[in-house]
Amino acid sequence: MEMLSECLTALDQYGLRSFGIGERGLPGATNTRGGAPINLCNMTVLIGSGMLRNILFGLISLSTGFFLALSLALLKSRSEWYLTGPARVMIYTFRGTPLLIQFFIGYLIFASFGLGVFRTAAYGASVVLFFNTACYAAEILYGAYRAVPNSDLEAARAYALSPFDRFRDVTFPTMMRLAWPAYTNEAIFLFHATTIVFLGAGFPVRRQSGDALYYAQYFAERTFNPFIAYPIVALYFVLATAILILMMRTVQVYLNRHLRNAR
Amino acid sequence: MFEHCPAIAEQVKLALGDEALSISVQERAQWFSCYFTTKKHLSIFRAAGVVLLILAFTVPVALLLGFLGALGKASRWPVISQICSLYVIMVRGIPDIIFFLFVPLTIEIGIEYVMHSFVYCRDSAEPFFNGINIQPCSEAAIIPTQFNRIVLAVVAYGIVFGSFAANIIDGALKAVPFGQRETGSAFGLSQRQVFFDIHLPQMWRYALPGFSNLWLILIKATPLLFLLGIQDIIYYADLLGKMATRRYSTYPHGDWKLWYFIALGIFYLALTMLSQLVFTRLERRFNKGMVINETTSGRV
Repeated sequence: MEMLSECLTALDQYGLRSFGIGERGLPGATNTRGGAPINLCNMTVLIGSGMLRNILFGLISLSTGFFLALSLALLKSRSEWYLTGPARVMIYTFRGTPLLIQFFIGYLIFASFGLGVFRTAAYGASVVLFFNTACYAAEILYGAYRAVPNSDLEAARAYALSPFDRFRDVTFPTMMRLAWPAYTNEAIFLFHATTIVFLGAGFPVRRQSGDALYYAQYFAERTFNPFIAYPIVALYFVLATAILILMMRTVQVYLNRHLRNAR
Repeated sequence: MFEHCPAIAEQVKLALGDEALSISVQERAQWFSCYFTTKKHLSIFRAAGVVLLILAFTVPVALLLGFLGALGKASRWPVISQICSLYVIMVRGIPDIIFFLFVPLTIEIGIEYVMHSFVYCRDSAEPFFNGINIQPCSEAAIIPTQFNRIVLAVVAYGIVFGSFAANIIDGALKAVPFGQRETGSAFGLSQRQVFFDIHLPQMWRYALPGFSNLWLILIKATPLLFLLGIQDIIYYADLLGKMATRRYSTYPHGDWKLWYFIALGIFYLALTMLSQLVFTRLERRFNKGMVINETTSGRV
């Protein structure tokens, strides 16, 4: 019972600490006032609070990145060189360079243009992640676009569908159905990639509001004990990944609902 | 060869401070050639070499662990197959960077524990596990050097990418048509012969696209070395790109970090481009003699 109330206090103090809400000093802090002692409760709550940030990063960049990905994929599949060229270069650049370096470059560009807001991790890293996932997803969607059976399009033309209707009713659904398994993988990878934002990717950490791995590392360094903090963050990620896969699976079933026995 | 460097550096430095003096293009070029061959710059080139070296050492470790994982998964003993199944799906659920942070620390603490309890501090009353804290006594505590860190990083990379590789090998072994193996047994080959002469050679063909992908992921994971406290190219790019003032530096310049990081990006881009070329070739070689629809196999 005592443990429970302790944990509730921790939830109150550190539940939204990653967004700067709650107790100022982290558990075990000696330099600022109000630091609670390090215990399992505090660790779990604080790392979970950081996890919210990872989820937010993933959700924002995936949901917005999808539209850029679709545009890039369609541009890349055109025949005009001035349309395919830029799309190709952009996709190749983002897919060929490491994300960490993209974070650094992104930060430096935002800094040199004086875009104050984007110099914070919350906004700047989201932008970089947005472009990164868009380019990876664009390649997947492009592959799917090319794999749409020609006979389907022929049938659509035979029905005298306008180009827009043809895309909406034939190309796009088939494309999504073909791309979805690979897109699921990309979503998982992106979600895992959100963990490097706060580990020294150029973006400064303000007021110790970081993500799950940032806090896990904090605890591991504080206690010299990696055997509690890292498994907690790993467990959170296993759980979140499982939920993500489940969600993607639901969409996949929906996309394939007209096919028998195929998922 | 670079005897003229101090003079050039001095001259340019003077010109920077004095509006009246100007620098000719030739002097600028000389200045750059000197600038890029300073001791610090040579260490960034060496760091690039270290990255390639780490890649070269990681691959065999990862392949070995990958094979062990994939073969262990099909083991008859449930304990081994359970452990290996867990290993195979491990990286799908947990971000790789957590392993990169966790594994080196765990190995370090393991050594410290052995040192603490069996070598140095057998008599001391201080426990190794003090509640949530871990406290080795001062003799047993390890202060990791650059070399240690790199070795531990290779182990961590090997474990993580071994898991990826196990996933690929597992899939590729299953992709080889069962009829192939059946035919082998029908010809009276032993199980061993079937595996080594029929199953394994054909596995490569199915595994190659996966390995190609994995290699590119591995290349793009090397910057994470920086996060492990290794002085890699990112560390030096960050260091060298910083603004160098006229007062403290022989080669003063503004904040060139952006250019340094763009150069790093180009380095990695070239590396991935080259790898893709090699893998396209390899794929063509492995698929020699196979009946494949050209239109579907042309894209990699």
